[in-house]
Amino acid sequence: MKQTKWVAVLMVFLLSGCAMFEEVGPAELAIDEDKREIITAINQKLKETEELYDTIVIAADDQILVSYKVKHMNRFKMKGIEKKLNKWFEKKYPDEQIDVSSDYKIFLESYNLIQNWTEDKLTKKEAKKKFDKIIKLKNEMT
Amino acid sequence: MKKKTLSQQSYQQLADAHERKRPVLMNCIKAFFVGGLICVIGQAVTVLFITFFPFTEQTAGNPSVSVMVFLSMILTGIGVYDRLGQFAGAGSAVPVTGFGNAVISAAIEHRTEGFVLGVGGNMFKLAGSVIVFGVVSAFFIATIKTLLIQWGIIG
Repeated sequence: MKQTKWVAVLMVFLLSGCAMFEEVGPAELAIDEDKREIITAINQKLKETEELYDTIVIAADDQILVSYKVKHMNRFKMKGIEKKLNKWFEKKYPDEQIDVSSDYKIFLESYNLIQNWTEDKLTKKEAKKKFDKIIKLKNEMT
Repeated sequence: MKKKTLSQQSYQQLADAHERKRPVLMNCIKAFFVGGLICVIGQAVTVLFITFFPFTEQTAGNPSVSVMVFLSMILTGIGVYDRLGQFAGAGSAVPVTGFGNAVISAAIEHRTEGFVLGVGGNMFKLAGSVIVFGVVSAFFIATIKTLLIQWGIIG
């Protein structure tokens, strides 16, 4: 009896790890249609980057948010990957304001935003407001 | 050390033969797993904060540390954490939960001496060194980092 209890506890701990790293596939969203081309190109680039999975690119009129998950064994190189991407963006799209984040919270919020958008729960204005909120969260410091 | 006389030496030999051997390896394994389990709980709290509250991975650290300390304080108060400490040793003392345990166990110990001089004066008897060395080393590290950034050596 006591043993099964412990096994159950252990299983909960082990399996709860899966929820966070569940793969949902790449996604993109253009709140303003004229950015469609750029974000498709960016997502293509991210797909080619081997260390990443589950990439999300969201674009509003003046800002683009790129968020992704890093494969577990590459998490030590997270800073380097971010730097590399930033450099690439700066060279390719010097006029765009691009934010890059590997944070899970940013990913989660972006994912929710895309889900709500595709289910037509949001107007353009609401979506933009949510998007601004995510950007603000991203730039928040400890 | 003072040199032992012959009778003392023979007594020492006798004592060594009858002394129970310390199960170092077993203690290490226990500490490893219990400490790891505490950290898993801490990670779960962090994920909870990230998922249900507006914290990012960067900012979720502070509230989850305080929640863990608070939890260990409550567990110490109701007497569970002492049992855990007996079983796991350093495994329960090294994570931040050990800090909460040190604060509350000192407070409980000196409760009979009154609230101000007893509890208030002795609460940080054990945990005080954590705060002192934490603050001091943080000060020096921050100073070094600020200087390095000022001089442009690191970004």
